[in-house]
Amino acid sequence: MKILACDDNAFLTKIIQLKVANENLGTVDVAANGKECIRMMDKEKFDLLLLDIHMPFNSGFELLTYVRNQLKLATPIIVLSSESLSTTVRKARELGANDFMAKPFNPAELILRIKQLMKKYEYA
Amino acid sequence: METHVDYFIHLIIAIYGGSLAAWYLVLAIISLIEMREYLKKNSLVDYNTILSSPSAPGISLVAPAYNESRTIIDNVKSLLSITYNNFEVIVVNDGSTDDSIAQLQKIFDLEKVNEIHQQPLATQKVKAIYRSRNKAFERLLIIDKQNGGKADALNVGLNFASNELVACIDVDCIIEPDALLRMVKPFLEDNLVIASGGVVRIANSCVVEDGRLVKVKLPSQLLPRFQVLEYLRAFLLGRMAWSKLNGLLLISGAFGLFKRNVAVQCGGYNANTVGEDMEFVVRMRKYMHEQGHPYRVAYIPDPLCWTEVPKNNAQFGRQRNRWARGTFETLWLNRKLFFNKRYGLMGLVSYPFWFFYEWLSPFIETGGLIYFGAMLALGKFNWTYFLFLFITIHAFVFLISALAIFAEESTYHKYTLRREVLKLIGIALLEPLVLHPRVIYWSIRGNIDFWRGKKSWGEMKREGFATTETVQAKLSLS
Amino acid sequence: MNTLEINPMEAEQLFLFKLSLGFVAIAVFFVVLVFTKRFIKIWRDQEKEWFLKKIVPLIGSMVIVKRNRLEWRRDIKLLVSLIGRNHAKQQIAIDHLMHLKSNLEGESAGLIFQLYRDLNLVEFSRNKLRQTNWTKQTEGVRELASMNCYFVNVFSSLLQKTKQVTLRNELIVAMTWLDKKEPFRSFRLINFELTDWLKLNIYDQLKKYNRVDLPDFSPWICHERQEVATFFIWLAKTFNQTSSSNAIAHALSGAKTVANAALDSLIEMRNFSYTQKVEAMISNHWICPDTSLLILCYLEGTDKNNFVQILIDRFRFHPYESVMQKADRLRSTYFEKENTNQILATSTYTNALHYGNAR
Repeated sequence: MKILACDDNAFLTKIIQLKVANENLGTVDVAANGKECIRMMDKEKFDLLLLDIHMPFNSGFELLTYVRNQLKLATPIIVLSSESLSTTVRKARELGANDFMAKPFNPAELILRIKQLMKKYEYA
Repeated sequence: METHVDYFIHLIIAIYGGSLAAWYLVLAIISLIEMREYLKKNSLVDYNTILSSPSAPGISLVAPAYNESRTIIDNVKSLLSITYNNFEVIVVNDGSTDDSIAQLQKIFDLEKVNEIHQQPLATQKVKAIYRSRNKAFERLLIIDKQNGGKADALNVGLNFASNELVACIDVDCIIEPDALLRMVKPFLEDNLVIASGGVVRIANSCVVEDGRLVKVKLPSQLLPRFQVLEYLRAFLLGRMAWSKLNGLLLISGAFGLFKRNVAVQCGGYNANTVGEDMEFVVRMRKYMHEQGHPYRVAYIPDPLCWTEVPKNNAQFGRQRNRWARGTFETLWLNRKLFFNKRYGLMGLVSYPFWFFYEWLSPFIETGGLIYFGAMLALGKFNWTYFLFLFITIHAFVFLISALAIFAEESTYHKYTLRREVLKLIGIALLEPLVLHPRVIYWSIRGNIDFWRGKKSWGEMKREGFATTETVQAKLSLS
Repeated sequence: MNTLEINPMEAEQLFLFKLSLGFVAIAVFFVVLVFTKRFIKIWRDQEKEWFLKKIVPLIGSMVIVKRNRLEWRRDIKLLVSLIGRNHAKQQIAIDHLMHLKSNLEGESAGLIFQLYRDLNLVEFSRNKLRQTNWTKQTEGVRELASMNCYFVNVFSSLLQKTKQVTLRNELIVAMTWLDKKEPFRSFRLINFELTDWLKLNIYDQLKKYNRVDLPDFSPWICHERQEVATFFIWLAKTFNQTSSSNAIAHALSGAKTVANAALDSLIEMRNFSYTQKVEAMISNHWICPDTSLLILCYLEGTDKNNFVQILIDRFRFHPYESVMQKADRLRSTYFEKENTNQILATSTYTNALHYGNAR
């Protein structure tokens, strides 16, 4: 399975890559900002997206609407953000995020949620 | 008899020059100390705590736009992606004659809305209010109004702002993503803060992508490069000290954060002046003094706002002309501050400093030149004295520039290439010879224009605020 | 010109000459400083990058991928040999661990703490507390706090000694999370200015607690300093800590700002069991527009009829002007609610309400 992790924190995406590889879930491609993320999504198809909210160029919210409204994809999306206010979570959900995780996050739980989403969407 | 005149003139030069130099040095030293202190205090700050706090104050970003259709989409997008949780972006279209509104409408999927807002400040008529249908842009509010100049547009923004803090910015500026988080901190630390100002840096030749600064470079052209040095001196060595003394009179129009209620109560921006940003801060301070409220004006030395500066002589001349007019007008409108105890440090130090060392200095300098010219004509020119005086002044200016470069190097270190520093130092040596005379010339022209007639204000308005002319950053140490 | 008059001129020129030499000398000094600084910075950055390249993958995999004790010990040894006794390298390692910690939770976070201890970095951070430089001390506090290392006595005594606001704030915030026994010890030990910035950071720490472990706010709601009391009332409201309701109700009889905050939080928490206390407030606070409005809001939550009755009773004793004002406020707050109509019907002050209507 192909995952796209979009976050401007390089260490963090590295950690996610390590964890996913360790769990044998698939590969993780990394986009360091919103623009790169759009470029990569246009080129390839991913099975799951991990998005940060505050990123250079395009915010996570914008990416959400881009995926849902413009590309019209149902790809499962998990939003990972340090801004964990209830309004933010609600907004992310409204815009089409399947799940929300607040930073700091537990990598084991991330894997769990990815697996859950996978089951729901019958990937694997 | 003539020797007495000579003495007199030497005395004036000595007193004026000496006091000016002393002031500049004192300000530079205070700034350097203060900046160190600022960096020490803030090196460990985690600005994310502001981001995820429900009690962080809301901010309304007000960006007036006039015929900016070329860049407006990128700029608005970059404003919308600023890192802050509780903010709105108010773009005030000041009667643009281009297709700004149409473009915004297309990209952001706007619809006209009927909203009733209290409008405490009198402004030109608002034509329409737009919001986006797309939820991702729910923070965006676009106001279309009749042309009335930048100050008028800002007042409309103040009227429509729904948050307790208002950030007034130029839409063509590049704002760093964490700018609001940093600017809001002084308000959180001290209830008395009514305004905070930020540094303006020069974006010429920098790599910009979609309204974001990607790489900082020293301008490739000579004129902007000179201005880099000017801005470094003004923002790193001057304002930091004035804010420490709580005597800051000017927050650049390009980026400032204000308490909305104070801004509205003191009457908002003055639409009849070209130096609206300085006039505004001075009036806010005056208002607080008159109401007897203690207050503070803070200043953030972090490079948070980048702007393009004039590349050619004509533009540059117009800008400096405007600044000179703006300065003079602000000083004139608030002349009752002059050595007025009632206004505390602002009346006793800041205002006189501006009067003597900002406004008067071009005249003194020209006077000096005329004196030497006359002596030359009369055949009594004292070569050695002239030469020594010249060298001393030049050495002093170089010293101040070197301090500014040092301040930049030891804090933010934005110009990373070794040849960039070398170039800056070279520029520091050339600047008093090449750029300064031009600045003096334009300042004097500005003053003359001011006296010639108030009629020209009307024209100013229509001229709008073309890009690159909006940052009033007085470039000596103030 | 005679000689007497030429001399001072020459003296002036000599003075100018010396002055310019002085300026040039200082300027050159700073230029040299700029270049040395730059040189050192570039060199340090290179070192750092090179070092990070070595440790980052190793630390990353130690935190993420499970290891048995033997493997762990082997990797620790490797890291220790890489870091050595070099302060700069130790600092880089700590910074990286802190950065990871700020993004990770759960088991991985536990492994980060383990790493911090096993690499003997605790001592490194503690040494910073012993220095006289407050920036170093603050750094030390930050490092220990983010790695969950707490030394009650050291922190407390530092808190009582220091006059440096930044360090003091750091300690207060750190202790809120670290001190499981008494998170608000600092409020007891010293008197300090509770700025918005500090409140925000304390709140941020409290957010990390599980709901059940959240410290009890009630003792602090009765604090003599109003800003402390209101802050804790706000916290109780934000975390919806129902157990402090009694303390909040007690605060109703306090000073105006505290009482307002208390009323507001009771309304927010939907706790309407203190009707009598709130009614008792009316005699003292009715004049104040904010408070009277809050009182009305509260009473409206309890019992509609009661609310209308009180409103009518109260209006009777008031000057016409203030009645008008209040009616106006009611209009704007309860617009289109049945209560307002009820008042309209029963009130003898129809004029006033007409005024409210007209608005």
